[in-house]
Amino acid sequence: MLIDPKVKKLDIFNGGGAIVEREIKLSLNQGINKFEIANVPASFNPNSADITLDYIKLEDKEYISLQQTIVSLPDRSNSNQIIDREKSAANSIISYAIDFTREMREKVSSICEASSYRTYADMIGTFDFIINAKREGEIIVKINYFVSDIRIKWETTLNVNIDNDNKAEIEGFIVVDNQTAFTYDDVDLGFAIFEIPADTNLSYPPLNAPNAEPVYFESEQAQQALPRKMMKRTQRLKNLML
Amino acid sequence: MKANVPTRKKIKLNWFKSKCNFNIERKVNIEYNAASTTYNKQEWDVIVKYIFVKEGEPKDIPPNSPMTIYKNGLPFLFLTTTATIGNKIISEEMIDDDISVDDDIVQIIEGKPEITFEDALKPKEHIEVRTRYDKIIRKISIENKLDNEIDLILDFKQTKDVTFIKSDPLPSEIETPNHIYNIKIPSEESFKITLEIQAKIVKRVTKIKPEFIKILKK
Repeated sequence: MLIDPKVKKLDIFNGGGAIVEREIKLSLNQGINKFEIANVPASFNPNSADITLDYIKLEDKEYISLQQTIVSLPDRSNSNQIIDREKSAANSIISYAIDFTREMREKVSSICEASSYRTYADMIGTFDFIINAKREGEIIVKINYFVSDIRIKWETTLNVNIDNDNKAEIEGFIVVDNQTAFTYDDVDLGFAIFEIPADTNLSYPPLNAPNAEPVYFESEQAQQALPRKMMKRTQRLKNLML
Repeated sequence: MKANVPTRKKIKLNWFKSKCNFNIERKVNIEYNAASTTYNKQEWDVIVKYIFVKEGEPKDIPPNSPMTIYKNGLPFLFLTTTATIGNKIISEEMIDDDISVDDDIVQIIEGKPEITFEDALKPKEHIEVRTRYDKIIRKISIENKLDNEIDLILDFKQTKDVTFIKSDPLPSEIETPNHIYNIKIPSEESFKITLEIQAKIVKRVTKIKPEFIKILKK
């Protein structure tokens, strides 16, 4: 049976990716119950897929159990071929359309934009599970998986209003950027940080590093060209011209 | 925090709003090598960073988060964060283009060279090592082009070939090899430091040993 469990929680990483937690209440028949989860992106990590059963009645624990989960990702080359065909079809719609009234234009552009942004990660992955029930009953199923897609991420922006007495007011905002093809409605959001050191690739070894090659300077220009850490320059607002 | 996250959209959520204290740290690091002590003119960069100490519970802000500083309701400076330590939010370090540091040569007093010899690769040759200690006087002028008074730390660091003799004014703090000056400069004014340093100049010349020169003449 195809089911579409509601996304309850979404823990997003600032470096890209998210942990999705979905939940659904299911009625089970006696015997083998096979379920297929809808709207699982192909960017999900099959190894991270996890299912837990929450028993509504405690005595069901003896009679209802998770038999197995089945996960797979769509074939990459076939998916890419389909995406390419979709993109060329979208281009053709734009090229050969005769009349673009206002309503039509918006509809066409939304279809074409969706297809032009589509990637393999927007295709649908397979995440099935089988529950073995020795008697009829109801159960809550929690589904967790990690979405490895850098197009869903978060960042903060800070606004600071300063006055002349070294006092300020700081305001923090979280900006969630979801460029995937999936929508998450009314979800509990969590935000996780991956520490990525800033400008690590721009630092130079110290001048007098042990075993370093001696540095000889022949001109003053050479001294000015001493390796320094690349840094941004201040650009302060000086005046407002009215 | 509950929200809708639509496809191919960005959403902005309010996170926190609180009062904070802030201070601006400015620093200029000066360090010479034997060659650069004699340059006619040098320019040094003033490094500036903003430190905000917010009230209320600490918030973990990812490094490289964009930050806009507003003054009198207008955006004044765009920068990013580097780290948060508890309630402290530290901005990235930037070069302050409104403070200029010019470093000019005043005088060089050459010392007497001491000559020693080292073995060369060829047995008939030796290396003449001429070591002399020069006294160099340099004048550092720091100009504040901003419309407010600034506090600045100038840190002169000795190196293996360049040592500190004296300065006018004297350093506020000496923690060898660092000589630190705590400087206050009013708006649109400048501050000058005269620095007297000693540089070890070593020159090496490979020569034929004298006894072999005579043989050649014969």
